Amino acid sequence: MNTKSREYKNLSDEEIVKLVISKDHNLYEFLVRRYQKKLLSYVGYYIPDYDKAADVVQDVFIKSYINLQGFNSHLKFSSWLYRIAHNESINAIKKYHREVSLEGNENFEAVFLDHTKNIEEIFEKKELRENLKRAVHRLPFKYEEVIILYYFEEKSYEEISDVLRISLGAVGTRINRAKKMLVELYTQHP
Amino acid sequence: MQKKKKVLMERNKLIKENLDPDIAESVMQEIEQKHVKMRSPIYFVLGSTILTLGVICSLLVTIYLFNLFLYKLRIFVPFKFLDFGLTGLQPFVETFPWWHIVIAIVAVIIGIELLKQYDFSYHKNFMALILIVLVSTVGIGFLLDQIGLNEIAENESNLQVIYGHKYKGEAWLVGTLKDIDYDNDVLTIEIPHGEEVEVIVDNEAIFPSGLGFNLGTELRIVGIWEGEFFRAYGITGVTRIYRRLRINSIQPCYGGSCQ
Repeated sequence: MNTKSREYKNLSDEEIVKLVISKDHNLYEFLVRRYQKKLLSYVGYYIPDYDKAADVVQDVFIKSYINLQGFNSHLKFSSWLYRIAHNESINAIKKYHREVSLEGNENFEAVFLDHTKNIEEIFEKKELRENLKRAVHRLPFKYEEVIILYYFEEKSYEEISDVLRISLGAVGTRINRAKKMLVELYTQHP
Repeated sequence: MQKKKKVLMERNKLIKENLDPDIAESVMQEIEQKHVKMRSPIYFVLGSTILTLGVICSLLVTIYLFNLFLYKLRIFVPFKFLDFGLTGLQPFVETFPWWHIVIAIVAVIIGIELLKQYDFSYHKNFMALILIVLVSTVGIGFLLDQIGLNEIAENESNLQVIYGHKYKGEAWLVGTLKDIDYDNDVLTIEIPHGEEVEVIVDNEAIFPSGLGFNLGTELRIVGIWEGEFFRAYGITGVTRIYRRLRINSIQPCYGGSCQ
C-alpha cells in the first residue's frame, strides 16, 4: 500500500476515478482515504452522533462507488462526493431527527457577543470556530448548509453551487443573508 | 445532571473526531464481501435518455393539450353559458375542457421538474428557462389551433375518442339555427353531424345577447328535454356571429313583437 500510495499520491481525484473504472477497483481506497476525514467532519455538522455520522459516510462511499461510472467529468469529484454526502445527511436527519445541543459551553454567548461586529473575524479565529458551529445550527437549514460549506469546509461559490445545485447568485445571497442572520440572532436574542 | 451528560458526550465526540477514522477499510471490505458492483455506463446513458424523452414527451403533451383546450373553447364557448346566470352553470361545467387544461398543467410541471435534473438548471437562469418553456408551449399550442390542425383531425374516425364532442346535455344544447317558426315559437336547431332538434321557446325565456340572431347563428340554449323536443329557458348567440349579422344589418325580430 505504501508503494502504491507514493505512486498515486500526486494523481488528481478525477485521474484516480478513471483508473478505478478502467484498471483496478481497489484503487478506490485512495479516494476513500483522501476524503474520509473531510466527509466525516462535514456529515458531523448534520449528524452530531459520531457512530451514526460514520455510518452515513460509509454509505456515501458505497453509493459513490456504485455510481462512479455516472460521475460527470465536468464536475469536480469532491463536489460530486459532497453532493452525495449532502443528500445522505438530509436523509439521515429525517431518519434520526437531529438533536442539536447548544448547551455545554457557558462562555459561548458572551464570547460570541464580543465579536458580532465582524463575522469574518470570528470565522478566522480558530478558538471561536467550534462555538460558531453551534450557532450556525440555529439558522434555517438552507442558510446553515451554505455557511457550513463556505466557512467550515472552505468550498468556493462554484463548488457550493454544484453541491447544493443552486445558482451562483443564490449561493452569494444565502451566504450574505446567513451572515446577517447570525449577527442578528445573537444581538437581539442573546 | 443532564447538562453535564451533554458536555461529556460532546467531549467524547471531539476525542473521537480527532482520531484518524478508518472508514476506508470497512468500505473496501463491504465492497469485497458483499460483491458491490459499479453500475454499468449503459445504466446512466439509459437514465439520461429516459430523462430527455420524458422532457420532450411532457412538453409535447402540454403543447397538444393546450391546443386542444383552445379548440374546445372555440367550439363550445363555454363561458357563453354563464350569461344565463345559475342556470348556465351546469352546461358551463359540462362543456369546459377541464381535463385538457389540468393534464396540460400537470405535464408542464412534470417537464419542469425533469428539467431540474439537468446540471444546466442551476448554472443558468432557471426562471428564465421556465418562462421560455411556458411561452413556447402556449405559443405553439395557439399556432396549432390557428392552422386548423384540429379541424382536420376531427374528421379522422380514429381520433373520435379525442375529438368526439357532446353537443347536448340534460339541460343544454349547442347548434346552428336552421329555421324559425314564428307562429308556434319553435326554432329548428341543427346539431353538428346533421341531427336536428326542435326547440320550443318558453314564454319566459331569456335572451342575454338580445334577439338579433338569424339563420346560421350558432346558439347556446339552456332548458329541459320534453320527449324529442327541447323547451328553451334561455337562448344566446355566439358573439362573433352576432357581430357579422349586425354588420350586414340583418335584424329579424324574434318573439312576435315586431311582426
